[in-house]
Amino acid sequence: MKKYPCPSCGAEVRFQSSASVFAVCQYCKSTLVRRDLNLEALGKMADLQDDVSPLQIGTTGRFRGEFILLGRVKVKYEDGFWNEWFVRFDDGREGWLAEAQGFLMLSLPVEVPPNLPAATAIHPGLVVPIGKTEFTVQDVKKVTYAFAEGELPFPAPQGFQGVSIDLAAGSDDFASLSYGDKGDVDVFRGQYIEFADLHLQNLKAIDGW
Amino acid sequence: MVGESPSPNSGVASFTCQGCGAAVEIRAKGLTVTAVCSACGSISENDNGLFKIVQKAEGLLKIKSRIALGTKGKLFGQIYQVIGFMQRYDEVYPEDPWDEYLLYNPYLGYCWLAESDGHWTQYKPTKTTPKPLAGDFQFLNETYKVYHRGKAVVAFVIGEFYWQVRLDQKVDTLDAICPPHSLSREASSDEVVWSLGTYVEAKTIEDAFHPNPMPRQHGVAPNQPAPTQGLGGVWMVWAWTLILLFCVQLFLGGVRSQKPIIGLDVNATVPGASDVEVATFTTQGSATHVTIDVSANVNQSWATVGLRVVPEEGSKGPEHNFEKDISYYSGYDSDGSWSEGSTSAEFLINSLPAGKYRVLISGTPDPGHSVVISSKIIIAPSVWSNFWLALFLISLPPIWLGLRSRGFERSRWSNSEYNPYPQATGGSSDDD
Repeated sequence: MKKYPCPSCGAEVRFQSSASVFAVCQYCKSTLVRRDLNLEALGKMADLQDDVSPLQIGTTGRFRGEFILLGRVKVKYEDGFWNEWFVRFDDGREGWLAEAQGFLMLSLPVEVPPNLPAATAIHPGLVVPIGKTEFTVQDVKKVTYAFAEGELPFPAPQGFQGVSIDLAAGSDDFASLSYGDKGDVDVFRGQYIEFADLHLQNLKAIDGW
Repeated sequence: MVGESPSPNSGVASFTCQGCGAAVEIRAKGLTVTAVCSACGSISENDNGLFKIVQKAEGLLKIKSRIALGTKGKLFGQIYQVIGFMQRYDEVYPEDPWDEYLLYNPYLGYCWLAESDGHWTQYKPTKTTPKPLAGDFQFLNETYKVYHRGKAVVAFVIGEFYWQVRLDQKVDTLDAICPPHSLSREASSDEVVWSLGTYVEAKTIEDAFHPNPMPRQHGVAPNQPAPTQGLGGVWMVWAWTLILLFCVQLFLGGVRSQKPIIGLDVNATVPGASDVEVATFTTQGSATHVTIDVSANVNQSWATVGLRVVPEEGSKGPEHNFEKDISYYSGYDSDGSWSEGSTSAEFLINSLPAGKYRVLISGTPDPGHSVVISSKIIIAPSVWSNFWLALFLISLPPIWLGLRSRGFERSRWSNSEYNPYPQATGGSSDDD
């Protein structure tokens, strides 16, 4: 773990993952980018539109290894929002726990398959092979980042625009393609998972529940 | 325009309806996309945390949700809160709408509770796509039969939803059933959503969510489990009983496989022959069935035949006494030949204890006639009649249940365009 003083308020900012390059100061909400030995303030993160997620930074869980949630991006699309939680496993694997309309998807980055079509050529129903599995495109969403907190492995300025594509195969196989605004693409693969199967600890208490 | 006013640590926020000024509660903060005012029915949409009106209501709300929004209840061990209510109808049957409640739990996500004709089904969205197979659908190793395809139209809506809801919005629907489960497919232009439904007993809903008024139940729901769903078990018991019965039969058969014993002939003339011992036989096993066929050469005459089966000294069984008239007449008249009576009679003794027995025959013929009485003793040949009787008796319950189940299945499918049963003409329908 690395610790830096926030260039804006001086509070301690921690990076638990060496892959993290971006963080939001939990005290002054400055958005910070890690450069070699210090942090650079980019601006301020807007307030979070209140939500009722039981997940929070520091929530731990167990699914083929122990993990902890280090950061999150709240992704906005035409019909609403979903959360992408940056997950770090004890053995160093890093991935994402997506939380969308009551569904949870846990996925890890995989190699970009050859001949992956451009975002504009992808539509629901298209079959995309990832590894040895044929995935079917479920939906194609234009997304922006509405909010971020904690630490993240990429700079997540508000206003980023991209395309997020969900794919499914078999009974619970899940994959997603994330196209950035510069044509770059990341591919993630994992599965749909039940809340109880994640054995989550340190959840946020929600009044009345 | 008023934004959500978050109250710290509370799951609930609210905004002011731009249609009527009433406060609209938001229970799934950050997830709710559409919120419909319970007071006036105006539809608002979440735009970066601010709810803006998109469809203003006209007139008063005519429909009331049977379950109050905000009600929490336990379903299959999990607590859910009712946050939205919707009434929809099939395009073809606008007079026959059904109710749907959107249920929410911040840990478990969303599910639906649908009510139609007083029957309740819980639906959970699933990401596993059922596989089409020969007109049916295959899902988690179960086969679902297609029940209905149609278009569902939104007739009425209040509360909050996680997608954009509008009145008169239409989706293509497909329902397939495998009671108590059902699969629902809803397809719009840009997405396909599958949900897995499970039938819920009305009593469970009444206790959990206190609908007011509780809808009266009628008809059979497509995914209602049959009261005879344990039928497989009944047939299993039937099959085992049959096997047991058969084994008993074979065992008894082994005991009885003695050759029939031919008794001595008895010559009887008036005034009659008193008891003549014609044969002796021995039985093993505790309850042997004995049949004695007696024939007399009567012709245009009759004879009274007496039969006694008497245990020999040392045998314990009871004595059996029979008497029968044997007569045979025949002739010709204007209608041709006729005959009456028979030259033989059958005597049955059930459950004869093991032992040695003597068979005694006496005979009294028609005055002026003499008669020869012959006899044949068959040990345990009549057990099969008991077998068939037992088979019939053990078959009654499964047959009765089967008929009941068939009636239930007919009712279940009576509202489906995929009804596998021939339509009964003039039969009553379950429609109201």
